[in-house]
Amino acid sequence: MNQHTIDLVNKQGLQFFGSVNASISHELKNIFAIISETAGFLNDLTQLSKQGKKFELSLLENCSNSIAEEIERGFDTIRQMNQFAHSVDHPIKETSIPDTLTLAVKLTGFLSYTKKTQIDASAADITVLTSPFLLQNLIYRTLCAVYKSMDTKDTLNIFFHEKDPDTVSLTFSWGSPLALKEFPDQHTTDVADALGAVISISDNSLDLTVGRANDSLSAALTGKKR
Amino acid sequence: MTDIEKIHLLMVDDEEKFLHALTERLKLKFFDITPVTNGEDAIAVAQKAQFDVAVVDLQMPGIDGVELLKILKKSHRFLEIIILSGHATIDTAVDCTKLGAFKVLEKPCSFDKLVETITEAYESRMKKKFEKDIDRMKKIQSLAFGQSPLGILRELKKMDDNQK
Repeated sequence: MNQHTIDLVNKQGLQFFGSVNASISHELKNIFAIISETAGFLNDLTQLSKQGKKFELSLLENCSNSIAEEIERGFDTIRQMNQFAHSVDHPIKETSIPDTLTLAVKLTGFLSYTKKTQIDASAADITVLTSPFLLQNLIYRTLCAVYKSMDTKDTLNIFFHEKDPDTVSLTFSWGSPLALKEFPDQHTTDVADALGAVISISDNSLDLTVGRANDSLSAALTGKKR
Repeated sequence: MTDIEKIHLLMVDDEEKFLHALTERLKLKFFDITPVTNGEDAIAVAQKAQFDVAVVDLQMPGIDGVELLKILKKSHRFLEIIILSGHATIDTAVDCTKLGAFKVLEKPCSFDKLVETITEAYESRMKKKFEKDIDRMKKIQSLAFGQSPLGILRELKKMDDNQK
């Protein structure tokens, strides 16, 4: 991997980091907006009560439940933000495929065009020695492209398995045949190349094949050879 | 405030809890509100009922806020549309204003500010309608001279078609 590719991937990585953080901040704004309006409604009800006007007590209960739920949603969002932020701690590390997939699905869940998604829960954990941040980037971009093309009612299923001792396969499959729009684009191709990943697409599925280890990426990002 | 004086408000937001809380609060302020959670429903209800002001979120599944703004402005020229979104940026605010949005507000927005903006939007709508009515009256008066009754009716129909 040459310096040009590393620079390109770093620049795109920064853009990716920015766009994910923007979507998280939008999610938090929505949460605060709900809490703000619900607290305001509670205040309105208090004023009505002071004026001697009657209302259903269940309204109070609904408001407090709603605030509690939104606070929990906010905590969840912050947890995902924290997990994502830590993906740049180590340029190369043993990275769990199911954990990376789960975080990517949660992060894309903040986008308006996200679709119902199921990750195969029966598969055993598989790790690859790679850049966790770049892998997250590749999976996130793949999910975005698939969601944008999928029918609203369709469900995305994600499976992963050890293809052979050296490679891991991630399969994204959907019901109705579709043509992915402008995918993989140059950005995605650059990230896939840096990771040594191969993307293959059919009408109903997309496969990402990732090496268990990537010597050239390790050397480029850490300056060390295995 | 009587039913006639109430401001007829269309609220469009896919965050159901936000929509519910805001609807309850605005009802207490004597607004007549129709809440919907997506652009498709907003278009459908706007075809059946007349609204003074619409408050629209930007990012929604299906028809998004910008697309909805275009569609509603095209088919309901006097409807004032306020964009209320957590995704608002300076660029989107400029784009939405160019497309005819009355104002772009960022979530979370103070309730008083929202009520004030809705009221201003309503006043703007009434002013535009009033100016249009005056203009229409002048045109009708000018039509009355030198036209047969059938010719006057034809011209009136043309004017009404143009006002939709």
